[in-house]
Amino acid sequence: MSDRVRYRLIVMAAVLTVVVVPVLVQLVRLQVVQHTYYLDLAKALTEHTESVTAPRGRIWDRRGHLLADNVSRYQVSADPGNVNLDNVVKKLAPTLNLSPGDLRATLAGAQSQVVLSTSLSLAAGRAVQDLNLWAVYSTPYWQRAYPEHQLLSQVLGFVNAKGEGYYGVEGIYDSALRGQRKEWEATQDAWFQPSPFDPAYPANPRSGTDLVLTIDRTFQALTEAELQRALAGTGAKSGTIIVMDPRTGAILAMASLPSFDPNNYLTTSKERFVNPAVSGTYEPGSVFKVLTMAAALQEGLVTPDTKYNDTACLEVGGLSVCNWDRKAHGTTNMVDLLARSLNVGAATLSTRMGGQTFYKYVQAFGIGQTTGIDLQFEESGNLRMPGDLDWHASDLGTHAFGQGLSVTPIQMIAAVAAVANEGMLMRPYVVAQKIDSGQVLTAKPTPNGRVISSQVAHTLSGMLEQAVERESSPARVPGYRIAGKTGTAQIPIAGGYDDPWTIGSFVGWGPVSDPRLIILVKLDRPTSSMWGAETAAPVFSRLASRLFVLMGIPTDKAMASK
Amino acid sequence: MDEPRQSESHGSKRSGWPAGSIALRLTLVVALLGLLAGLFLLQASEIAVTARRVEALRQKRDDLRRENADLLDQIAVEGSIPRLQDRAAKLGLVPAGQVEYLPVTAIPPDSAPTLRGQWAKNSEAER
Repeated sequence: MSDRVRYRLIVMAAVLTVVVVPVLVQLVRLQVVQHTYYLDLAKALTEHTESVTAPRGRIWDRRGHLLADNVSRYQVSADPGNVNLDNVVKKLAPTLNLSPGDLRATLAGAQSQVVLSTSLSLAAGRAVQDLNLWAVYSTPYWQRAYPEHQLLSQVLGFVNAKGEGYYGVEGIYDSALRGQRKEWEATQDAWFQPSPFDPAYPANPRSGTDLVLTIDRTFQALTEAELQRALAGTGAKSGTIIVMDPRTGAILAMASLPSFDPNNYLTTSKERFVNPAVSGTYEPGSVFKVLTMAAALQEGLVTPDTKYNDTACLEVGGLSVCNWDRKAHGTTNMVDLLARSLNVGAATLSTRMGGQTFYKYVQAFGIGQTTGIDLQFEESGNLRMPGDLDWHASDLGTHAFGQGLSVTPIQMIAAVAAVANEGMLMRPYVVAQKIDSGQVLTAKPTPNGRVISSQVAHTLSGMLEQAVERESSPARVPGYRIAGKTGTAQIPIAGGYDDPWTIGSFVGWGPVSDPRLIILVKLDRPTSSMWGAETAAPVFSRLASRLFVLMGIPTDKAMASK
Repeated sequence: MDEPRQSESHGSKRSGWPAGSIALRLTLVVALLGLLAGLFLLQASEIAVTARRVEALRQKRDDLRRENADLLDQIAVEGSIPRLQDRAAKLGLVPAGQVEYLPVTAIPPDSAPTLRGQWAKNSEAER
């Protein structure tokens, strides 16, 4: 090899060394020294956490009508750093129904990804997708919808934008109703488009459990219409009606007004979210005499024919307890006591029983405790007992006719329903079935214990039927045997009662021979009359007569002719 | 008889494989590699096409689910009590008055919730 060739080889080797060595060094730096850093950088570009949430479980009425479902809505957002501003404003503004100036200002003013519109319909969301705008994203999500709007709103509750259920069934069954949410590391290409097939994509996240209510939407609509009519007719500020099957505790309708539209819960005052049927407490007044009489009959203290001398007032624990009419009714039997709703008579029974016995029955009827109904925020009411610091001896007299204690409407109807149900107290419930992945779980009626014997329950039902008939009560339903009791209660405020306002109520059931429904009507602060017999009782009659027809219950006359 | 064979064998050891044989073998190796590469390419492109198709089907399924949910809601809204009441009022219907009953023993009275197993299966299948 000549020197010249050798020289050339050395030069070539030197040049190659100068060129290749830095490349090799750089390769080692990138691939070995800073391997983790660049790997993370690459992953950040091609991978991101995605999530998918299955739809929330739907809610149906007992006949398969939808009460709560899910609709598809879209959220449109944009990455202002990467959008073609002119193009986006020109094409997106008309699609989103936004003014071009506002859209331009929003995009120009934002530093990071900005939400341009939410709650877009399926068609609008897809229209945005079809525009194929760079760095503009149209993302679908599920939104709760209530097709019946205000109907049953306080029983259903609502779901917020985060998918969290509040109040009513939505609140108490939130975890069961929620659809499964799955997250995964999704891959995308250099243009931020998702990989055509991502094996990590979760196959089928499980939808939430469907619920079937015991409530019939037709009954509910009738009940709400009657309540609305009652408020308009009596001038009452608010009211509640509960319709229940006394044999099982299944709620057939539960209405309170004023209510709200759960589709627009954001525009509603929070007070309306609360269901007064389970969360509102009040002094029940004379309806409570049903429980006092049940206790006295069960103890063998009285029979329907037992008489007592009714004076206008009776002193109990240093307090004078008087009849509503302040009249002395003289020798009176137990049926008349109920028919005329005599406070002195009720106080006479409770004092004869004594505190221990009387309160034993009051507690057994579930007063002072929650009923366990499957609705959120149930209250327990207030019952002072002997031994409590705030209990007074006079309470034994006033509690006998429903004064000085507070109950919820659901407590009151459940307690009286025990009399209609042969003495067995049932736990009220609103969810009849849960449907999870095709499996149906049916709720079973739950007895909360026997309070009185079936014989005593029959006797008391008969007495209350006579009481309704004897006083020609407006609660009567033509063709049907009805038992029930009116109540008129003052409204307690700090330092006394809010005169002259009252709460008028009626609890009744029928047909007495085979009770199929029990209804509680409660009207707050009526102006047409202060008496429950004149305000709540006619509402019961109108509602019961229509519900009997809807339920296909023949009149007693028709039954007798069979 | 054995000598010529030995001679061939020795000759072969000396000169290696014939040039033609090497070229043939190289060609075969290249063809095999080409075939493998082609198969790999075919498979990769087929996977890509299938993946696109699967993705499109998945997208379509999700879209149909969303459309189905919206249609279900529309049906519910159209059949809702306020809508029915409006429609009934426009048709001149009024609430029934006094109802007279004809006892028919064969028809059972109203009973518990009507939704049962088959309905639940249908509901699930529709999702």
